[in-house]
Amino acid sequence: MAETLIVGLEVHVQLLTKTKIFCGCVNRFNPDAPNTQTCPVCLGHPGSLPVMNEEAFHLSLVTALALNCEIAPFTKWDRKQYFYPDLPKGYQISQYDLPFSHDGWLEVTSDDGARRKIRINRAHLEEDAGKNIHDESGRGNDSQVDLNRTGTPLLEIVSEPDIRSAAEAKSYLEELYLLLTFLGVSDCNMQEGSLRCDANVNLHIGEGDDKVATPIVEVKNLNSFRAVEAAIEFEAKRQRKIFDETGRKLGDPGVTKETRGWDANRNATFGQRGKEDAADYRYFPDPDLDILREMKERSIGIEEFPLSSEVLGTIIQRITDNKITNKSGREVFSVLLNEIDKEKSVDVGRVDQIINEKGLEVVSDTGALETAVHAAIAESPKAVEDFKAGKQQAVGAIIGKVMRQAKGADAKAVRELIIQTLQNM
Amino acid sequence: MSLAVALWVILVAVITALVVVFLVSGKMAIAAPKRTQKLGDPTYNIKSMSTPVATGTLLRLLAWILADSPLGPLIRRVLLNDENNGSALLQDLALQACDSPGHFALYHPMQRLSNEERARHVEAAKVVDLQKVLQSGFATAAVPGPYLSVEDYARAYRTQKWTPTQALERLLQSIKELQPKFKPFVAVHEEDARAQAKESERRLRAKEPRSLFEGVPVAIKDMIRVKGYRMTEGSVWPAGDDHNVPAEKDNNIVRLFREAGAVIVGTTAMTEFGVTPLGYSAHHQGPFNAYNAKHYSLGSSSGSAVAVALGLVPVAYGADAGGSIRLPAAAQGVFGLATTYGRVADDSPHVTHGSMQKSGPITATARDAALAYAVMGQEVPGHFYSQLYGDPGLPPLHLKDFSETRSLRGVRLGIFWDYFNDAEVPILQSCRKAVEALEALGAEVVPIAIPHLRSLQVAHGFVVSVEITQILGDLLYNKHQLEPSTRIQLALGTSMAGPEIQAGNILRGWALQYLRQEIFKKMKISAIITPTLAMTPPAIPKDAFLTGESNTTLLIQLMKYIFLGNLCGFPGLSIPVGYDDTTGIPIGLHACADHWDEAVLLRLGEVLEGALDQRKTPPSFVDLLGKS
Repeated sequence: MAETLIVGLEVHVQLLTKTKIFCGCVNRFNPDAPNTQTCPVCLGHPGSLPVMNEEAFHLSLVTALALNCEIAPFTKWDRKQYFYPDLPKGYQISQYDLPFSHDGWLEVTSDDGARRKIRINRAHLEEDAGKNIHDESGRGNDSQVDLNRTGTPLLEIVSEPDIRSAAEAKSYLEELYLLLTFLGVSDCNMQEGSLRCDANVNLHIGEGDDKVATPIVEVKNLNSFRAVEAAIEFEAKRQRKIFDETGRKLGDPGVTKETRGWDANRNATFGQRGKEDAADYRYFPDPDLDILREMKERSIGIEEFPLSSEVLGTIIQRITDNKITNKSGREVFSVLLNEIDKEKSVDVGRVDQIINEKGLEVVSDTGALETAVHAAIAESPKAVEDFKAGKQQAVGAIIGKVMRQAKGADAKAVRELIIQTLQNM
Repeated sequence: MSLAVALWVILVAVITALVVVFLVSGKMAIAAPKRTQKLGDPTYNIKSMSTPVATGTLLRLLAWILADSPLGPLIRRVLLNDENNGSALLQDLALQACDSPGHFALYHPMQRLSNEERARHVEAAKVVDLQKVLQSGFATAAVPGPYLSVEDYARAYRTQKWTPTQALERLLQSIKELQPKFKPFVAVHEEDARAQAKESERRLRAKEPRSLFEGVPVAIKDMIRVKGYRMTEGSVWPAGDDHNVPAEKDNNIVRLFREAGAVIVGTTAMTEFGVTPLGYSAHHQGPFNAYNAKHYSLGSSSGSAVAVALGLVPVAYGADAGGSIRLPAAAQGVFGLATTYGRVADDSPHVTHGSMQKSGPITATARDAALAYAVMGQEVPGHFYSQLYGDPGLPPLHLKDFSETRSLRGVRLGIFWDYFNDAEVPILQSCRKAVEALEALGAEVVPIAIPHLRSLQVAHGFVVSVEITQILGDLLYNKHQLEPSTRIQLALGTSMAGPEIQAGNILRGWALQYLRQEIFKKMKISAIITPTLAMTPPAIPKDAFLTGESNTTLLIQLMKYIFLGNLCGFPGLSIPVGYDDTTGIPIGLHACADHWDEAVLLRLGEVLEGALDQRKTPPSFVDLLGKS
């Protein structure tokens, strides 16, 4: 009987942010110094509170738009609860029923060389867990836990089961790789785990009313692009053989989704633990994090985007020239978006006008900054006293004053300048 | 009754025959030109194709059907007419080129230099005296690494730490140990090599070394004449055949190496007539990839690359009509330089009849590639290539800026990103890293577009096939014991039609003009950068051990980045830049420059050797002189 291979891929992508998703720990692959990139937040200490990393969300949005996804008007964070040593909080912050994006597509090359669209079910943001390192020598009996990875921003991209061959799965991953690296969202290094892939595989056997499906298998541990291709090929053969021998099919009593691992040395999949149902995770909205109402009330395709590339290019140019900060760039962007609803078109010159009107130009003249800093320090005797008593955070009050004076100044530079000035006093 | 039945049978048979003739007659002709693209359209259009893979008995059957059965000619033509094969588009693009002024068909991929261009090379040759470099080495220190270089050998001999005889004995021992597993060599004449080493030793003792190559072992691909050796070209010859008679005279290239003092240690394995680039010869039952013996080594200069990668020789000769130097070099993590068409005065009789062929070194280090280039590239007055270029002959050899590795300011790397990115991800990762390393040193990446890559690939395929078939086609008919895939290739060559070949040569002329004028001159591109291979060489199927493999899909992936160099005569260098994590097989970056600009490529190789992580030798690597 004829068979059709049905494959859906779940891809986890670590985002190239400087810091982790809910805390200030550095986000870097660093297996040589385990447990050095942690803090109370990502270690899940009681009383610690998460603060969302805006850059992680921004990178995810860019990716979702490039995947032609629809952006949800609002989205929220959920706790996915399970116990495992690499997850000290006892739950993973993820997105369950309201992912920030859904229903996109990615074009891939089919076996016959033609281009085909693979639908994307959803893309959501979550935090990565730590890493358990097991002694595989067969001698020792200790396992180690490295929590450097805990809290790394992770974008999960779930395809519909539209993939029809192992080669097509490989092509899907290759296209995704090109897109993610082009956007600078991730370095997609499968060996280091910054791109991980699980494949859901089964077969449809027969045609029309006689069509039956083999039980769905989720293959994990796919740590190279070639492994994905080889594992799918292996599963297709294995499932066909078992079906021919036993006739077991999806929907039969006792048939559940099976989780299998990939053994690259034997070139074969092997059985693993059964997979939990969603109910086992007791998802519930995370009370520590706000619902995100992103400016994305406008969920539109990239081709309908109202601002011309020249205008966008000018904004980016101003940022790269250090004329305005990233944040100011976003402000110019949202002003322009509002205007274009009324005006229908925006001239390139308007970018600089807005920068002038709003006083967003970076104050790079240190003279002006210094004056503002001295004025702010003179106005804040209490903060100066606190600082001298060793309270570093007292600087915050002075920064606020300076920033109000010198709009568009680089906050980091201001902070350094204030500390320097205070120390010299 | 029976008469009526018989009449009916005859009638049905006649009608069937007429229908068959009617259906077939159209297919026997070549596809008509079809306009689906305008000349100059820069859309990237190389596609991966799904074609049947054949090994073992199936391959033998396929070879019989295509090459020997009565239906062979029909099936071959039907296959060639398949739209994916691009004959119709190629013919139409050639028509368009004919209709626009300033283009010409190109039968030898060359262009005479303007006075100004020639002057640039003459000036460059004055800067560094190559003969002096060949005597005493480069002025700058070599990049540290595990491979034994020509300079390392020279130093070991001149400081008398080793003698050529001692080194040779260790080498002969290592060859014995590694030959069964990897099969790089076809023949090693031990006594002949010992005699050469002795002569070298004498000259070294007399302090009269001929060059840095004095006493250095060099291996030669089994397709040019080496005095005293039979030349098989990867095939099996009947007893009385010329190929079974030991050569009385060296090829020019071998002679040049001997004159530089090298010890010629043996001939290296190649695929039959270099037809398949997979590297594995079913006749020879090898070679195998130096890093992972289950995988293809790629070829056709397979043995040369494997011998260099294993540390047996620092330099081996290779030849390249469709990637045969660069592909195995990439798959073995070594340097492979296919020189400019005309640079190396190979005097094998068949070479001057094939327009894609070029020679070059396969070496462990970039410096050795430069040194071997300086030996092999010397002009041989009166050679066909010199006649082709006319007075005043070929431009002089030089290594302009080779040792300027601290900064690449002014170097412009042309990248056609759609093309570059059409490779497996681990390959892209390593190649992008290499490009970033070059950028970090001041090189500028310039996005470019190259039109009609698919049709140029087809043009290369047609022209090179017909050239090979013309030279070897008689073997199809005289019961020569050909491998099945060679048989299929030669048979396909007999079915390619005149207008297709002419169209190929016309588009070739167009491309040479375009690349030289638009890319290299106007955009001032120093080198066009791509990966060398679009995929890591796969494992050799078990069925292929006795028969080889026919797999067009694979060939397109493997040869995606190299054909422009052969079609248009540009030099190309494969530079080792990384390793595939799952198989351990190396990854190569390909740089292609304008005619006679080998120096640009070699310099990029030297720079990357120093800028990237130190290379990993294969598990069976031998450190002959105990370098580390």
